Amino acid sequence: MRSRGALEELGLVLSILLGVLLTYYLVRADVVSLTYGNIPLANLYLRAVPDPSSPFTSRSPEVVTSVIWDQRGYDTYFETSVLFIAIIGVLYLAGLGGGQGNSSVSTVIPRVIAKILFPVIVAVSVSVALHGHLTPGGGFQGGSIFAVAPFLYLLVFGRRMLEGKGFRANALVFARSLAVFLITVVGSIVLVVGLLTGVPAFLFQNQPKPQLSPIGYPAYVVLPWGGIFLFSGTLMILNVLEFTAVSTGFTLALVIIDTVTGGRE
Amino acid sequence: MIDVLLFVLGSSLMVLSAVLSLIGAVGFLRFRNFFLRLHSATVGSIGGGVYGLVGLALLTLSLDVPGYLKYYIFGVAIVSAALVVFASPTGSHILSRAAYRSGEAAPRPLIRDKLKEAGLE
Repeated sequence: MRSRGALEELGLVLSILLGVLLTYYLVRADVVSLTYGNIPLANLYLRAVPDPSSPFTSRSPEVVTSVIWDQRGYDTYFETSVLFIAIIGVLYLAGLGGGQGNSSVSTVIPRVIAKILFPVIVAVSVSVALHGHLTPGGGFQGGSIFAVAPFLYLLVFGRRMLEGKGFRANALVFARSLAVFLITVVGSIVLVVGLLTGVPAFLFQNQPKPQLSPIGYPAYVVLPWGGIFLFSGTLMILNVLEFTAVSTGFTLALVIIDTVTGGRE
Repeated sequence: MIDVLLFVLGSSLMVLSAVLSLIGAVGFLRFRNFFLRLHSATVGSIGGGVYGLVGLALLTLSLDVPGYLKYYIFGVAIVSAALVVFASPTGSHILSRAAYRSGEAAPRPLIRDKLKEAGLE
């Protein structure tokens, strides 16, 4: 007990020290600035991402989602994979076999309210995910919001009812694996096309890069009635896939926690 | 005419919500046990939150702003108010039920326990 407390304090001191060192070197290298109004890295992203003439553009007004899925796409992909592998590993350890369908102890009030709130939460989460390349939000955020809805059902009705709604472990694992696989496909398809046609291309490339790579995803489609549907290349596709992966993953995690702790009695 | 009516109604609802928020906050700090404090927190969330949001919606409708922006704010405020109306009483119901059944928070000055008399719990 004593040694664990000392270890925690050591970890705290080390992480603070690392943060201070990192800030010091980034300020020294003029990447970040402590004074407001002179932030070169942020200025670079804020100017280059929405500007269609820049080689680093993502054709999207939402800079955060662009940075997450385009400029640092590798990092986000590995994040998604780590979460995927962690949940698969926990599934192996926990063994989602039996699990008693415990009788729910909630009254009629939370039952009715959960039924009312379920579609509202799902609508909000889907809207956050689909608007991720236009407004703040994105696949991860939308998926996290979505996971609240099945968790509400899990708390109020129990696991049996949730499985009756279609949230079975096998289906969730399948949807999650499919989404992670499709993220890989979407990220590597430009590279494969580039290799086949003998043109330089990058992994997780979104828009064509002048002088570096002439191929890329289209940024928008013109609809039959003349409107423009902006989907910013890979951003919207990856947001939808990440929404699927994260929502099913978090639902699985919550179901596993409920099973391992043996319900709520 | 209807604009003035909406403005006055919305402003009075917002003032009422401010007063109810203050009452809820003071009660939350000063009441003696869990159930009384929960009651006062609900006064804060329904009286302070929902009345204020409905007042904001009416106030926005009465403003002379061109475009669809005021209907946007009106819709957001009404939907948020509806969500709080649904969720907040449910949450306090579950909290008070759990506290009563587990016996963690005993109602200290207990005059009459009607739940026990009825044999419901």
